[in-house]
Amino acid sequence: MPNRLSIFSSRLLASGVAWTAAAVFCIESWCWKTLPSKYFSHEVDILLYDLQTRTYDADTIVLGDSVGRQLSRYLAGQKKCDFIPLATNGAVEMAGQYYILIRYLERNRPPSAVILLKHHVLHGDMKRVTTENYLQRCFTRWYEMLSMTWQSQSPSFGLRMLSYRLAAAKYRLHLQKLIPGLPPPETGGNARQVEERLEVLEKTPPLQQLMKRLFPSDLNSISEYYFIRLLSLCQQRNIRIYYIPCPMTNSTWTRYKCGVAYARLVRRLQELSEDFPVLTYTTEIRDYPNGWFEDGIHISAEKLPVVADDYSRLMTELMRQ
Amino acid sequence: MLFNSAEFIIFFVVLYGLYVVLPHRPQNLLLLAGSYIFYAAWDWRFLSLILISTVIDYYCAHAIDRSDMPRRKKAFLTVSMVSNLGLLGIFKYSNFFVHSMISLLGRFGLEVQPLTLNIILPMGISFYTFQTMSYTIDVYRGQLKPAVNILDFALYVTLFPQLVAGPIERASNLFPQVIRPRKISRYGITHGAYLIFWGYFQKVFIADNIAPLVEKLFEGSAPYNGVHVLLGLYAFALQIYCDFAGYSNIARGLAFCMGFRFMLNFNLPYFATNPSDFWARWHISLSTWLRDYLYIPLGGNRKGTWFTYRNLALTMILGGLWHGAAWNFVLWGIYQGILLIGHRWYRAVRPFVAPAVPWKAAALRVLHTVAFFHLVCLGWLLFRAESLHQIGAMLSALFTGFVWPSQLVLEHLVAAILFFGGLMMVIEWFQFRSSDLYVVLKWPLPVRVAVYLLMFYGLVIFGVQDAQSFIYFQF
Repeated sequence: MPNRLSIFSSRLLASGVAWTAAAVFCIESWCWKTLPSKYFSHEVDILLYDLQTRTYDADTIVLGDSVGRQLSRYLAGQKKCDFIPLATNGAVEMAGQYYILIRYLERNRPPSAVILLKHHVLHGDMKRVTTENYLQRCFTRWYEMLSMTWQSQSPSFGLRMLSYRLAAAKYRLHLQKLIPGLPPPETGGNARQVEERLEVLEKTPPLQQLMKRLFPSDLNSISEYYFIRLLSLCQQRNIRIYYIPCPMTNSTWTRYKCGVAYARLVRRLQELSEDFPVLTYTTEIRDYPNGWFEDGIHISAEKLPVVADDYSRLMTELMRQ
Repeated sequence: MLFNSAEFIIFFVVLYGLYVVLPHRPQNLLLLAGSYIFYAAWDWRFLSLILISTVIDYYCAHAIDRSDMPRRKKAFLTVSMVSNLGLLGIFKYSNFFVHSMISLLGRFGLEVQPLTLNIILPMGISFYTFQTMSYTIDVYRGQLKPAVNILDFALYVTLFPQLVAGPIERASNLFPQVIRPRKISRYGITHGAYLIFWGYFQKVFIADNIAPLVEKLFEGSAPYNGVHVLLGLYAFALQIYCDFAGYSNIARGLAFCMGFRFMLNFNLPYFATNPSDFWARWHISLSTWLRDYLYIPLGGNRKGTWFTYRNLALTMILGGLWHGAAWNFVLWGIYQGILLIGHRWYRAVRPFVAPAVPWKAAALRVLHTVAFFHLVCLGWLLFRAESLHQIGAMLSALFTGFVWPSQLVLEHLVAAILFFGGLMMVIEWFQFRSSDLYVVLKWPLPVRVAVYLLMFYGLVIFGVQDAQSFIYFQF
């Protein structure tokens, strides 16, 4: 019986779909070779590209969110600390931090320490408006996709990630600009989602809103799962991990320290440090005047040296413990 | 669950995987369960309406078939019609009629406190009620035997590819396919996959990309710019066609893959040269339904010229109202009726004689097509406008405010229409010339591959990712 799947099968050779698939494969291979270095949408793209193409030799690396990136980049630039700053953006959540470390370890020797400079490590359930652009679009290796899809419990989450396996999909916003005359690429998707969420929030009855504030659903969630995986990985490789929360404005800290979320963070970190001796942490969040922050979250350029120096001392103290 | 959503793709892959391995009866049960899940994913509460419609029509059809007395037959037909049209009236038209009545009374100085209910329009109600009505009428006319098994009948009513936006399948076509074992053939899968791909291309690449430009025009306020309105109408013509034909093609493609054959719903409508030709190509399942169950029972063209005109006008007005409970749809129906009557009258006065010289005949055809396309676009203005005031302002701009718009508006609209619609226009030209909607599948391999690649990368790079609802879902 003839093998219908044989490449010599005349039916397969005459199949437009088969030839299209082959052409897509060739085009995609070429795109993956040329596009990643040409189009960077944000710092996560750049970092992942660097991790894939460069090698590092460091005893300490810093992971974290955008405030962590501000601080670690400044300190590294001033040569005040000896570490590699790999902090990117809070939108990658703990899943992204974990996979950044995995990718780092693929091409480099394990560091002796990882500093995690980030706001709440247990926050985030991969349902933010920024999740698609920073997480689903960027972390598309098979094991990353499978794990995150499983954790999100949403096949459509995985299907969306799968579409980003195509370079043309990943860089679509850049490629769209190549056609002259067309209206600017539709980037309103996220804005629309924000509007929709706000509408939903406004429609939520006050009692439910209060319950959501008191018991935020994104605690003990997917981020905690990936934080534990990060700790396990560090433990296996004998890497010390130091968690330092990022600074806050005075007013945010005043509210935050009385909240349930902070109390649960303190308690959970205590439990985790018992299970994972490689973890050293502080829950003393540094707070500064509101005017030191340009948008309530990120530190203003003028005050960055002061805050960075403060954090440099904090890191040194913590690492001495 | 939208055809262009990830949830639907997963739903269909799982369902199809089970479907191909099951024998006929379990296949039907699977499809029935899948169809209910498909509908319930939108709003499970409205499943009750489908179930009510299904049960009433099933029993009415049996009662009609069993009865020998014409009056009894008619009574059961009336029960079916009243219940189906009643559901449609309550859920689709009640607020419209109440508001219109209040507005009318207000003109005579009578103040009435509006008593309106906040009724949600159940998705696809216009489609499945017409489908069930056609079944009962066919049984009443003796053209069809009633369904033996209620589950088979329920599947005919709810079969998910055509449940929410057609094609409005006739029982005489679909029901035999439900009760007999279906064959999944290579031909069906090839053609079905092509239709699905083509449908997604029309919807996600063309319609959804054109939509924001059209929205921008209709969200704007007067004074309008004539050139902008004209280009906007071209864009809307492209959008509504690709949105609805895209849905129909996906529906037909899914059915093809499962061994069903749905009727053709769109046959290159913008190549029509006159109104009769247009309605033989646009939303064919609705136009033939209206012809068979409304126009012909009203008397058709059997009772003289004026009755024919009256019947045409009534049919088109009700056809317009079928699209939505708003005055602009009524106006659109009246406009279509006028076009049909005008064309009929003109042809009676001056019968068409095709020029003997081929190039002259071709040129005349092109002229007729272009001219009639503009009449269709004028109709789309009535269809799409947000208010009667906007219709007036845009019409005035079209005929008196024809000034050059800003370079940016012009560039965006022209580039978008040509870029997003270009490939489809070329393919449809070949489809028209060869009178073969599957002409692409017969092209030489390199050309086929090039077309597939263009479509594929069009979808990947330019496809609108957030699943946008289909326009005809609201009808």
